[in-house]
Amino acid sequence: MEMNEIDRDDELQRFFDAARRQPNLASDALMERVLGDALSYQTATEKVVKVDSKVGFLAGLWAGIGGWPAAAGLATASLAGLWIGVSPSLGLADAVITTFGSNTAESYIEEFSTSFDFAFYDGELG
Amino acid sequence: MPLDMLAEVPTETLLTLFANGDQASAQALTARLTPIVMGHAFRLLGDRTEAEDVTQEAMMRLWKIAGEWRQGEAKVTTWLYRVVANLATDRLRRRKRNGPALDDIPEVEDMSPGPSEFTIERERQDALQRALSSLPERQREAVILRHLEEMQNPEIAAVMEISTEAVESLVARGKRALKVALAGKRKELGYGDE
Repeated sequence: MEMNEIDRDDELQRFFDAARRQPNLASDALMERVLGDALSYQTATEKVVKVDSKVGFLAGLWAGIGGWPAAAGLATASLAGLWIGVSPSLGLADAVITTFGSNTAESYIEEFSTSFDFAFYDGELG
Repeated sequence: MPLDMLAEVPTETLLTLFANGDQASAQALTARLTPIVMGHAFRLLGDRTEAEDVTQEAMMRLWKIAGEWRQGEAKVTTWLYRVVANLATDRLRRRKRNGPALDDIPEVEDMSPGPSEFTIERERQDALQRALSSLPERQREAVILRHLEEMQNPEIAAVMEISTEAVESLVARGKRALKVALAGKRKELGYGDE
């Protein structure tokens, strides 16, 4: 053992023990500063869509997909689709008149058939 | 969620709650982690004001990373110890360039309420702090983590990003240097010649 050093581990351990018993060094002022930083950062980075636990998951989901404005747009698009599906013939007839100058779909078929000989099929199959 | 209900919640979970805007989690994390960070920063730096600055900065980094924290990948305290060590190293290097040498660090201020409570224990704390401040940075960090934070070598290795063998070597050399540095305090701190 050298004379110029503490000779036993347990002596050094007493210093460590004393240091571990040191009181909390974080002052109230420091705690307040740290918490202030935390809350400020939370506020600054608050998400646009935030689920409030009081209103529940479905309400949060409703907000997440855009709420009433989005629902109104969706309803308009749905009604437009329904109208297109229910009344296709009216639109189609107008398109036929505009394109071929006839006022019925049947006349278009008749005119179309004059350029071909369907008699062959009539005779063979008749 | 009430603050007292969060006492048993794991730190990593609190961090996720914090990222989702829960203010009680901010309070719980501050109360739980700030004293640990401050204690470690002070032991590394030996200066209360600088330790407070490092603590505030380290905690700010924690708030910023909360939203990206991956559960189960690392312990928050391990990450914090590493951040504190990096911030402290920056300050110690700056101090070497601009300020007093480590040996000139002033005595730790007496935070006890009055002279009547001045004890040998307090002397030991101050003597150890001064001795720690005289160690090379990596030895100091390893000794603090092992003997004051009471961490196991694998966890220290994770904090310091070195092998466990390197940790053992740093701790052993650090303790040897501490024994030399504290030799002059034997009698005045109540150790006899036996």
